[in-house]
Amino acid sequence: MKKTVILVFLMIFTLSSCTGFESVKEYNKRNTTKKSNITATVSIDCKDVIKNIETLDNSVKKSGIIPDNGYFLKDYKASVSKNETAYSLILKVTKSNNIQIDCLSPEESSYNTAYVKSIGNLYEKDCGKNSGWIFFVNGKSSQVGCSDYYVKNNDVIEFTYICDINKLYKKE
Amino acid sequence: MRELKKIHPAVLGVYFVCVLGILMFLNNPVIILTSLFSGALLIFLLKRFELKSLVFSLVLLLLICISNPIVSHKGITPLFYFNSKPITFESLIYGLFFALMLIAVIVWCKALNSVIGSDSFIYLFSKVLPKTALILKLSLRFIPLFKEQYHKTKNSVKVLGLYNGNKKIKSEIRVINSVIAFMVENSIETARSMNARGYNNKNHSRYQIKKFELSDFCFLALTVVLSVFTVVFKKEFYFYPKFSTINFSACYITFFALSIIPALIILRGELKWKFLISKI
Repeated sequence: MKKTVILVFLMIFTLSSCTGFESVKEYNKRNTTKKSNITATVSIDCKDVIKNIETLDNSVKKSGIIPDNGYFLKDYKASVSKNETAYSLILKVTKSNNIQIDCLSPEESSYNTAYVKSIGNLYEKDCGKNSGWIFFVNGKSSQVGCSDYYVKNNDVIEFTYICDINKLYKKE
Repeated sequence: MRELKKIHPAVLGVYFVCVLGILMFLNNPVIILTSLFSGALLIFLLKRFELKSLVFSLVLLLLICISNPIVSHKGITPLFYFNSKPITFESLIYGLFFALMLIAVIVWCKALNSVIGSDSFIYLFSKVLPKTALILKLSLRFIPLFKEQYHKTKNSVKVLGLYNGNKKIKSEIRVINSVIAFMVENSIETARSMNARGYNNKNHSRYQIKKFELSDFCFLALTVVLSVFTVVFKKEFYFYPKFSTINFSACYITFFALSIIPALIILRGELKWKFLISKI
């Protein structure tokens, strides 16, 4: 009995030591941006949701988290450090603009690339089962995942919510 | 207690299915709290309240409350960050109400179990699904019987001196081995004895415990009307990404009335009993 209690406490201790608790203030303060010459334009929009508002889940519709103009973030100039991926950039940008983000990091997801589940509390599958976040680089949908794309100077990076992913591929 | 057992078991079954269905599928905090309150009252009146199950349900509550925010990061108000992922107030509250809902379901199932005994269960289903009813009853009986037999065998093995403190696992295996052999034998015996009595035979007549009376019909009508009203006037409540506001709705009153009926019936019976005593 004593042994198991000690074991449980040890487990909790090791778990808590390798994980970090932070208050909201501390999290917002933690800033890792370094000034550099490379800049990129980032925008996050959900215009497709406003077009297809009838498919949106009732719980989201009533909460009023969808911005009226369809943009969570419009043409934000972000300074990019060297070897920065689109994934780390979007994490940085959403944090400095106080937008919620929920994603699977490359280690967590089973495809070895990051997956964005939600931005600004708008989750995947909120607009039907084929909806979710995708990202465009200079107007084209990227061929690699956002954690494998290295941002270049003057790139325009758009994260867009798509209500039906099949429609997108039919157009192209 | 006795007042409830007078009611036809089929009607009681319909009543419990209605309450459990509304409780599980509406997922509204007011309805969950109401059903928890009236279910606890019912259990208390049926004298089936146990401290052990209260402790168990509190542990369950704590476990779900902690584990839900770790898994789900939905919600707009972060309390703090854990591994740079937000732990949100919404998911905490969702976990709380989910746990409360589970506890309410357990409480109501307990009440169902004590109101509809195994006799009336067999009586209800022996005509429609004879084999399923028997198997279900056998499997429900299995666990308490197993426990009882396990303790008996363990004690007798201890008395014989075969339960060795040093070889605990080996002795335990010996006990469990014998208990399983006993259980297999027992189930075959039960099946054979039921067969010998002519269960599931075409000419086998079944005795009627209860007859369908006018009061049963009234109870059934009340149940159906109240549950239909509750479903029609239901209010959707969303936990994610932001709590929707709770407005007053008629469905809360109808559900409260629906869930308090058995407790009222028991109370009426007990009051009647007391008045009769004082008159003498």
